[in-house]
Amino acid sequence: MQHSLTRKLPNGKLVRLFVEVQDTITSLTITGDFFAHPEESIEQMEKVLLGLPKTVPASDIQQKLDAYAAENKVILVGLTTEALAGMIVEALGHD
Amino acid sequence: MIDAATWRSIPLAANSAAMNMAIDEAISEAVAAGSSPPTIRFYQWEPGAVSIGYFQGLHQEVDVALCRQKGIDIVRRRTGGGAVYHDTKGEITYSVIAPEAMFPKDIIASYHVICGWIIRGLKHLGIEGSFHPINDILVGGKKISGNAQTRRGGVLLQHGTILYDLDLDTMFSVLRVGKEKLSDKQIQDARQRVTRLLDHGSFTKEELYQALLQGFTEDKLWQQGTLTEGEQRRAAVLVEEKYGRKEWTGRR
Repeated sequence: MQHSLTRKLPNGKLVRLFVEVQDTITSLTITGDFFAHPEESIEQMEKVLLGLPKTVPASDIQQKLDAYAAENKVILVGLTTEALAGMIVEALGHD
Repeated sequence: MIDAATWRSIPLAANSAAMNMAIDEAISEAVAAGSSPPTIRFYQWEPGAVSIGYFQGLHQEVDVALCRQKGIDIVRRRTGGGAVYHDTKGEITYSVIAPEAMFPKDIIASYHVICGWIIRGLKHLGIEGSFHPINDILVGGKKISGNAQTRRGGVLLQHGTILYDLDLDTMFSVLRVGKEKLSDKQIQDARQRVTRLLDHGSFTKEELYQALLQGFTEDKLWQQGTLTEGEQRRAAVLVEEKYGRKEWTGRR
């Protein structure tokens, strides 16, 4: 099933998520008018979440994103890993 | 040897959307390689164009069929941020391309520095602008300038627009923000959040350009310059291989 979710983050930017789920996350696209340095980090962060179970808690998602961000010196502007994790869980919850 | 302490300013010129973005990247590469000095560039978009942010979904943001019908170019930027309608006559766009070390490490602080040059330029026209984080400049509480930045290979690129006489009807017809996401009331509100230089007095485009040039350069050693042959060649390749391709523009 595919889900999408759009949110304007408080003090931040607009984020639109597209998630495909079977028993696990099979596809994730994070779009919007935020900034991420380096830019490719968003594609990489999408990839590290693939295969997580559809019941994954937000804290686990955020932990994975934070680990990637720390290792690759990612700077997000107008977007946080916490907001992303919350949105992904909300999108998965539509199932 | 280049003189890395003297800025180069490339005068206002119009290009296609793909070429404008290719020139920015070609200069960035040359600055990273140490073969070009820090550079300020002013430009326009001919034909008119929509640029979308690196992370935006093309079809979520832009009415692609309407752009094609109206002869409006579409290009994906290498910077994040939002979709912008670049009216050929309605705005001036700038780019600042320089070693990252010349700016604060903090992203917002560096937006503030470069937006400060725009605010200084507006002041030369008697207009009070203010920096509105993350990346906007407001006049009278309304947005007159949007800006976007990337950093790569030790080089900072920031580009942005200063609205002069924007065609709001075209803007809200080609950008989906005015179509599906917003009610009529919200479209009215969106219009009221934007302002243009001509809403604040009678100025020519040339006066805006000269004021901006002064605002950007008055605290710097600088000289007028042009693209090098190497930058021109590289830009042509980047149009061919990246910015002119639908694989790039439609990648999200």
